[in-house]
Amino acid sequence: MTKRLFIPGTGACIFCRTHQGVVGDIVGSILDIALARQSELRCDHDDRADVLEPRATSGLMDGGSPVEITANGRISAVYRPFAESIAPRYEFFDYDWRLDIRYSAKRLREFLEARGERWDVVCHSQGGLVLLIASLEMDPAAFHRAVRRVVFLGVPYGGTLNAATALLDGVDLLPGVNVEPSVVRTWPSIYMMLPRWHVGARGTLGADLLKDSTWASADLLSPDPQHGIHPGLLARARELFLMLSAEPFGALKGVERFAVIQGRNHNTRLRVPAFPTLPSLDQLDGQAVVRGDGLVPADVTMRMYPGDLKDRMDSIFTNVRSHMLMGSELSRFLLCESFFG
Amino acid sequence: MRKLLRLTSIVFLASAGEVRADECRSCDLDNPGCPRIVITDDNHLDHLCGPERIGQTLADTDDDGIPDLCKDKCPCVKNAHDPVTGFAPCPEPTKPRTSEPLRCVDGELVGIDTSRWLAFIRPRMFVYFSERDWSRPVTSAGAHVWIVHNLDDFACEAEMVGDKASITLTHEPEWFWRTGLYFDPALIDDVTFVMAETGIDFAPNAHYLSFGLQTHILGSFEKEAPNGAHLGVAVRVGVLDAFALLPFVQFDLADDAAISIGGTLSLDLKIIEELGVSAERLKSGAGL
Repeated sequence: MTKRLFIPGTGACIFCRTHQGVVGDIVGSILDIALARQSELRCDHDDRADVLEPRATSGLMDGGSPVEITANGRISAVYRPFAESIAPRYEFFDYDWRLDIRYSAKRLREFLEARGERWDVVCHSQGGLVLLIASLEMDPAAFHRAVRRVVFLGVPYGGTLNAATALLDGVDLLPGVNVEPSVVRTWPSIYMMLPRWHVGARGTLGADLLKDSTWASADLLSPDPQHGIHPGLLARARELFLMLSAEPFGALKGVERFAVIQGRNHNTRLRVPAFPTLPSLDQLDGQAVVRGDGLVPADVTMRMYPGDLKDRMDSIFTNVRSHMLMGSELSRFLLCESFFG
Repeated sequence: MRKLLRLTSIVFLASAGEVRADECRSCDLDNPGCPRIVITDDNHLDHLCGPERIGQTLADTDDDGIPDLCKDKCPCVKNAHDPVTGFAPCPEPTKPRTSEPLRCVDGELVGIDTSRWLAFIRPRMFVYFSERDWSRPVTSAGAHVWIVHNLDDFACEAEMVGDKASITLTHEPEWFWRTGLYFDPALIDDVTFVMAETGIDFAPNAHYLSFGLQTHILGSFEKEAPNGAHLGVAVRVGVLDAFALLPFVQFDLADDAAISIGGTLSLDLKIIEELGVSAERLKSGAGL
């Protein structure tokens, strides 16, 4: 019997305070955090890019030791049909979407191996990268025993310029309510979702936003999150780039069905000719701003999937409410279930 | 001739997907004809090399911009990486897929069955006032189980995006037939309510609101009172599919069709808790 698994995207898992391994309260409301306790969401990582585990998951201290935050549950409003379905029922893989994606992938691999069951998996946004990296870390035969069919919903496979926006300007939760850039700059996952394509920063080549030199030339490279983006966390993004440059779909392309669904009805940033000034989303010009889901540029991302996948994947473009709410629509749920038969 | 034979064998092996780094003899860096790349701190990603290669001069036998010792999985096949995508896939044998590929034929999706029953559960609550006594509200809270089936189907157009045959959905199902059962196990008071309902929902794609029209029959069962039965009709306004409001009017079948009006709220209060607002905080008025 194949079960259903949903791997949520960035921002969609709930954080709880944990004390001595016991999960406690939900970490305040999003407004509380944005308005008063920003440092609670700060995390800390080793300067070495190969150390995946975080040193601290919160900037707060309690009795001399850091408060630990863990992901426990999802914001079900953004995945309503999946969360409310009873036949079949979806399980959600909770992970801390701020941390190193390779660390989340390690935890997913451990989850799949421990459960020993077979899953049809829907991955939203960062969740797709988590599954992809987990597939690279697993023996292909073991992965195929665990994963039967996969749907990617708005997965930023090539990254997203919104990650650069988040590092430069913070994250707007609501109009006028912002998670400060100095907090976002401590989250490795955001670095790891920087575009892996050439965004056209002046005087740069290749995957320019992954290079220290691009940020340094804008005087934005600093280990102090108040002053710039962290070179150690940028090095983690380069590690992910190299992992995905080799043969990223070695295991995933062997699943029974692999479908990629991308939104294509919102203006989405593609290039930054005047880095670090980002282009206005209001001006759709087909160059700096293209069609996508507001976060993932549709056509470029689809082109980035390796050519040897072309006979192995179903690629679909559609209109969506927004990137965040791709999994909230009944018709999208119907489409996923249709893929799973 | 030897060169031609070597080239032919390389192409053959490559097409069979069998060329690997250890099977390909790298060219000799001392040979002036051997393409070479200097790896620097700023260009190592451009050449798909890890930071451990910084400062080295590396052979690139197939002259594809990816040194043999970096992420060139097939150093004898010119598989230059795309400057946009960063990928340099090697030729691989095509394996037959085990599922029918999704196609768009005459505007319709072929390869998946999109006519489906879907089943859901959610808490809901309602209140109504009867003309027999407008001052006394009747309240209920319980579980709502419902199934939906799409009444229209996907429509599509086929297109090529790069080298991939893709499908653009030009229409997604937005009309749904809904039927459900509500059960209140007398948690609030001593009355048990059971409601059966059926109706039609309109949920336009990529919009935040959905609308519906439905009819219901509501049964009430009370220990020391006669059982009741109401026949009603409701309109439904949903927001993000996360909650819905259903104002309704109904007629008491056991009491000369007495009219009552009310509203149903279809909402899982867990949503509010997930945003970090506990029941205690709501009671204290702190709210969001």
